[in-house]
Amino acid sequence: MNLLSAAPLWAAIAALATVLVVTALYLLKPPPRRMLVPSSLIWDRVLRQSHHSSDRLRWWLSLLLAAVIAVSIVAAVTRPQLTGAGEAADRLVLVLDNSPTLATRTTDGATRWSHALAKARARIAARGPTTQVMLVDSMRRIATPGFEDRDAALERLQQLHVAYGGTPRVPDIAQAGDAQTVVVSDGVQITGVPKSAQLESVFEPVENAGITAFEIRPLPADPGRYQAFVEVSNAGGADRSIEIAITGVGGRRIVRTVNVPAGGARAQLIDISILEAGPVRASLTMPGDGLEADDVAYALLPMRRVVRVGLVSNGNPYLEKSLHAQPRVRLVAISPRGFTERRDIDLWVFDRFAPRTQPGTPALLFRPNPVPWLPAPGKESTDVTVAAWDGAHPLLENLSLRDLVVERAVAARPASGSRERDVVLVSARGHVPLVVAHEGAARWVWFAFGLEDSNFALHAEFPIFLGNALVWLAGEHGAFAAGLGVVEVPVAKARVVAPDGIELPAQAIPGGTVFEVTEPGMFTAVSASQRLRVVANLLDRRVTDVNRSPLAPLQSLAVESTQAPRLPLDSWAALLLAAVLLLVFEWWSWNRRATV
Amino acid sequence: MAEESLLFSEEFLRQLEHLSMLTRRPVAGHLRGHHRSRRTGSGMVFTDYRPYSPGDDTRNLDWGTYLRLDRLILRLFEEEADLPVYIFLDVSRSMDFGAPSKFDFARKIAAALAYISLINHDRVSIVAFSDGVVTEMPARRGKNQVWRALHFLERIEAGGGTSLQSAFQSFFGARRTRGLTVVISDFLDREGFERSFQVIRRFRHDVFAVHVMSPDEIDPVLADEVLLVDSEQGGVARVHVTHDLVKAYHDTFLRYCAEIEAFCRSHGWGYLRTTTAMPFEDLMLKALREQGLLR
Repeated sequence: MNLLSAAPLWAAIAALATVLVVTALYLLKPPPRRMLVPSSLIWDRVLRQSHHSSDRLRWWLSLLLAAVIAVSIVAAVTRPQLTGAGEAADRLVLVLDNSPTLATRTTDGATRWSHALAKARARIAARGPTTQVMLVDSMRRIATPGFEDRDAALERLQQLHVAYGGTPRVPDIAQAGDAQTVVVSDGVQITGVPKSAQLESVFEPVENAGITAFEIRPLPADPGRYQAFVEVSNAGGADRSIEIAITGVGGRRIVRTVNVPAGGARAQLIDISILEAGPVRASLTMPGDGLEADDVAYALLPMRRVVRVGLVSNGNPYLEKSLHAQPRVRLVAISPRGFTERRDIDLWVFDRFAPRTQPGTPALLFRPNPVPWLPAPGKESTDVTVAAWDGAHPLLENLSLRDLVVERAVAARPASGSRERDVVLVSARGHVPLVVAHEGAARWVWFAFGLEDSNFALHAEFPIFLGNALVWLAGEHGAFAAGLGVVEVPVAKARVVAPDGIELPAQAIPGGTVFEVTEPGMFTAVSASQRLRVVANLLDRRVTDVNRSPLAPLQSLAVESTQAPRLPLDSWAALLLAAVLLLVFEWWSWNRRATV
Repeated sequence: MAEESLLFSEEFLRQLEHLSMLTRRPVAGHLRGHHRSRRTGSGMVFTDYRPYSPGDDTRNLDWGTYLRLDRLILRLFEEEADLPVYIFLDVSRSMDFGAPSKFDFARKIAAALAYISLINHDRVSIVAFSDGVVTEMPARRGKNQVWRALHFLERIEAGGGTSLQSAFQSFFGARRTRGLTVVISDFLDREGFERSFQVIRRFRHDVFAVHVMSPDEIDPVLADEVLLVDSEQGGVARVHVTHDLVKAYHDTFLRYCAEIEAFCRSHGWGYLRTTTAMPFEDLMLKALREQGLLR
């Protein structure tokens, strides 16, 4: 039996035993000393005047007091937990909103999350010992919620924390049945709250500003220079002047101050060409800011160097001119017959040609001849329409292939098991791959059609694609961008190292690695053959807007003080206090000889 | 409890020999003594004149008046008689309390008073009483009876209850010459002291009450809870002692003493309250003189 939470039956047995012991001690109490006096004549007069109560009555009163004191102390130690009136439900479903906005600070110096935990603990503690509690979180960090006893629920509560990534939502709990459902939330992001649920609010309006966009990109007119795009949102109720600082390697800083209207956002383009290549940190400073996670964002400023490109073609003016136009490219044109593996080439561009063996450097291939290391070409088809493309891939960043017309193409066969690292970037109807990228030790990009068989080279985005291809193939792409929360990187069996050198817990999955990020930062995923920079930022305007809650401010933290604890003291502390007060009363009454 | 010796020092006895018993009323002694009596006789104190009758002592004729008035007038003088002294000594069990016990202290007082009376040729009767007369020493007179009186006192032991009324009625039931009655007691009489004293008052004795008490009796030191056992009756009372209760007892006790004193004073009697802690010499040589029992 756990003495600190005894069942009522055990507590009753303990109380009965205590009363018996106290009674026995009273019966064993030695009689008062006999004292001879010359005469009781005077004493009789005094006692008649003092109106002293009956000895028997005083004995019983004293025994009653002692028994009540002893039982109170025993009850305080054993802490019997009795189900009070109005707590009819034996099962409680407690949904805790652990979405990112719960990390917002409150005026008392705590956070909405700490208030939510306190409310949850109070809800659980107010229940009887037999109550079963199901703890559910809106970010689904508790994978398999189920009913458990109060102690287990409180222990599980300790392990919960604010989580990032995904949409906070009250999950459907099939096994909840008729259990009472209580949702503890700030009401900002959570959805799916059942109408029957009781909503405990931890919402309190605060001032908050956050970085909702941060990106580094080359200047279109001068790709050798870079600019940072920073968007700052103000979720507060007043216009604010916010200082933005861009910090690069070596601590060089660029500071700007922007005025952001209440509830609005302001974007800034900041020339960061003076910064060295490497991690760049954007931060904002605003007094009284409520949420820290959106005050910082990271990006990677790429290395700017000359890329030596070998063009293997029998003559393709579009391609040659476009490559020449790339500012960092030093082009070497070679005919297929003259192709040999060269150490002074950073990447190859093959036009209707492919060597029998894969070169050691990355390659961009337009309708190459069939070779074993490339996707096997299928039957040639005409008037191929692009059905889908992966706009999120770095190769197709800032591109639209809606107007791409392909007259002839030899679409590849569906990928086999040996081509797990091939990614279909563009596909025709029927999921026929038109453009495939390979992320191996030496990358390649395969086109199922030649430039002269399509209008791709005539598109305005074609130079952008070439720029993307140069960066991606040369391994210069900025960094793997991710949000906070669970991050999946395409590096198999990788170790993930934080900026401070501490290795994060990571789990290998097929073709990648997953790990959890709880604050913005730049991480490095390192495997035996690959090294990937990962930038994790919040950059979510829905999170920054911490005041967009349907809950009225008056319902917020003031509710906590009236609802959470029913008594100013815990029941055991109240019992102990009662025992002390009764002891004082017993002492007083003994001094007055009202008790024996 | 070891009995105290009733023997006094030579020096103290010499001091006692300078004292004598004093009564406010004329005595009715039959023998010649040193105290005023209602009878006229051969005393030294002139009281009145009366016409001469044959047979009168011609030595008391006032010859000056005869020369002026030519009538034989006889001068009358108070006759000095001996003083009957009745010493009532309380020997009830309540007296056997304290250190030294009230009983021993009272016996010493009785012995000293008896010594003074016998030295001055008064007739001394000592009556030991509790709930009646326990024993008595018949009237003795003369210095040679001192040792008999002391021996009597030494033989007495404490015991029994207290009934002043029974003792007085029993003793004064027989015809007794009016004199001085000295009562040495703690007066813890459940029947009440008023009714008891009324008996003496009826016989018109002069009374002097010596109220003996123990300091522990006035301010008792008691534990928190005690069973008080009455030494005379054996009754038991459970008392839960508090400061207030002790104070109430103290006040009640003093009030009881004051009632006795007031009764005595209202009847023109003497009263002395003493404790066993009081030096005996001070009691005899100062206190009793101040209260008018001795001179």
